[in-house]
Amino acid sequence: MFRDRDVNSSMFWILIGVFFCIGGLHYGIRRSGIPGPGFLPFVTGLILVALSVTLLVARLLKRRDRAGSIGEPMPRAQALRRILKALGALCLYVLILEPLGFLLTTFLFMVLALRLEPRRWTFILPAAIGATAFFFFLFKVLLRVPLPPGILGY
Amino acid sequence: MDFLAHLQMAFTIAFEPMNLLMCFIGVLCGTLVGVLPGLGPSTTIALLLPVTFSLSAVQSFIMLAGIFYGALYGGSTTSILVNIPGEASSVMTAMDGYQMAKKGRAGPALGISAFGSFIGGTFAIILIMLLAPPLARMALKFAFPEKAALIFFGFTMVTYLSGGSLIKSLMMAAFGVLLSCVGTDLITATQRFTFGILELSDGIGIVPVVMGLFGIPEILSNLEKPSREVKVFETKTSQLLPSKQDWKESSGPIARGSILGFIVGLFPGAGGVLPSFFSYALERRLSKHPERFGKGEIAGVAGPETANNAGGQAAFIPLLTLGLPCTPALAVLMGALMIHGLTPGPLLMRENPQLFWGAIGSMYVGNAMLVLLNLPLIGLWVKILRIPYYLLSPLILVICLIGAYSLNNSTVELMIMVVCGMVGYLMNKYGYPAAPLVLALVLGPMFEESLRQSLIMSKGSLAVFFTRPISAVLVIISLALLISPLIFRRQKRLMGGEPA
Repeated sequence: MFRDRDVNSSMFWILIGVFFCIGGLHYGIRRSGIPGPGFLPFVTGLILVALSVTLLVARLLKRRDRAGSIGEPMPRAQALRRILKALGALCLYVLILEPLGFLLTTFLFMVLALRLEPRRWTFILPAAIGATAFFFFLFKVLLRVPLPPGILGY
Repeated sequence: MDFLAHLQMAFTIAFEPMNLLMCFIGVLCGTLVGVLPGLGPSTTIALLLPVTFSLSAVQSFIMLAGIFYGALYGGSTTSILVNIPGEASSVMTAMDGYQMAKKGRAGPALGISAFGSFIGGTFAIILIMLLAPPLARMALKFAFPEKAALIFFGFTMVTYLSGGSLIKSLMMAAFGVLLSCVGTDLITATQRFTFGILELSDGIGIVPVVMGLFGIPEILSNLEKPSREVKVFETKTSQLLPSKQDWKESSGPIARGSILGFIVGLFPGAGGVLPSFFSYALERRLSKHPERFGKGEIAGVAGPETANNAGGQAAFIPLLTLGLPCTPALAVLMGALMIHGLTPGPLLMRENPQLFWGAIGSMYVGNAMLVLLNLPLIGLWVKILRIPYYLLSPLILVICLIGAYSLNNSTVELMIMVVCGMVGYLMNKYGYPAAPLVLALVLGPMFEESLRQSLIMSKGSLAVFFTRPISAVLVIISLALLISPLIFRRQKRLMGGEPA
């Protein structure tokens, strides 16, 4: 991979643009003389590709005046680990919410999220249980949001 | 007189007990999220949207709008007391407000920002009442080419004003339009990019996207720093009323802030953020002692706080009359109206006067509530800020997760939210703004329909956008804005402000 982050990201956006262009072609750009369902995805995809190529070329030529801001630095080491763990916990929530149900999933998520930094279990467990109970009361009892019951039957 | 009849109608609706309650809940939630960094108005409106399904359209709009302008108030409290702007729109308030607090003048700073906000907000609402009807009448004459041109103009303004690199903003607007293409094509009923996933045939919902793009990245970037205690500036807030001298120094900034904020706030993409930046810059330039700015000058608090509220309220004009949301939060609000079967735009005022005037009335009431609420509750907000972030952030995440799930009781929305969270986090890191994406996602379907209908009208010729005066003007201004950076080779954009 290149070190320049604009170069990397613009290549990603080129792929996205190409994907939508191909999709647009597939759905039909024109139908009997008028724009079809693929018209907008195709044209916008092309625009995205064109913009990304401009960004890419500008960065490769080191013409910073056109490339613009570079953004914030990526987290390293400890911080990066915390971010990845948090993202992992989020993904896990999505995967197990329906099979395991709201109560277990939320409890597990709270435990994982509270453990992002080293903490005592005497803090984590009560906090996770308390938060789960609080949310159960708030969403299920108070707001009557239908939550997946899962294996606990709630 | 028209104005008085409307005013009476507005207040009659706003003072219905249920509407009062909704307004109260809205502004209270708004102030709370304004105080909390990591939960913005757009995320909160998205979160509470499912809760409003059981309410009437008027009630839910009143509540959700209250969150929007309530957040503009709440942000100032933490800026002044803790030097943590809860929202981007109160970044400028922290500059002088925190310095005032350090000098023991937190009371007057909080007081003047509450009164300034009230004055700016009220001023803007009066202008909304005067300007919205004629504007909506004009917009009623818009046919498809004008609509397409208007949305294009909106995209351009948002990309232009959203800060950072113009080319990246444009890329995000394009990506937003592409995402809006997912789902059933409105004209031919073709399924596009759904890959057989049933939930996608309605398109990608604005709510999980907003929660993902704004809520999750904010929390993640706070997780990067090891948690620390928030140092709350201990201060006596007992004397909240500004002195005569304070008023004398603030009256000019408040008056200018109201007008400036209103005008700037009308532009798509400006929201409450740009007005506060502009007002601060203006006040410093006009001041007799510009050297005192940044050291606790009350004018530096009064001006921006007034301007961000005037601007935030003014942003309702394009939404309610043209159907053009100016900020991500308003885009979600627009999504909320559409879920209730209403399309914001010129027809709204005529077909749903109840909603339109009820919303206006509730804004008067809400602004008054905020002044009354804000000052006595400052102690409470400060206490909430003391909740350690390592406890608060998982709680916010769970609320987002359940909110996304409860939209359709499906994990597809959850997935969209989590994926958008990752994308949004990386977008922050790589300097891509999220606001253009969100607005393009909301406006995409309307843009596509009017674009394609225009081209059907003209049998495929793009000339249709240039032969009609209104669309020609809008398209030419937009193109000029888009080309101008190439000509002037300017790297620095208008303002480095973050989108709200």
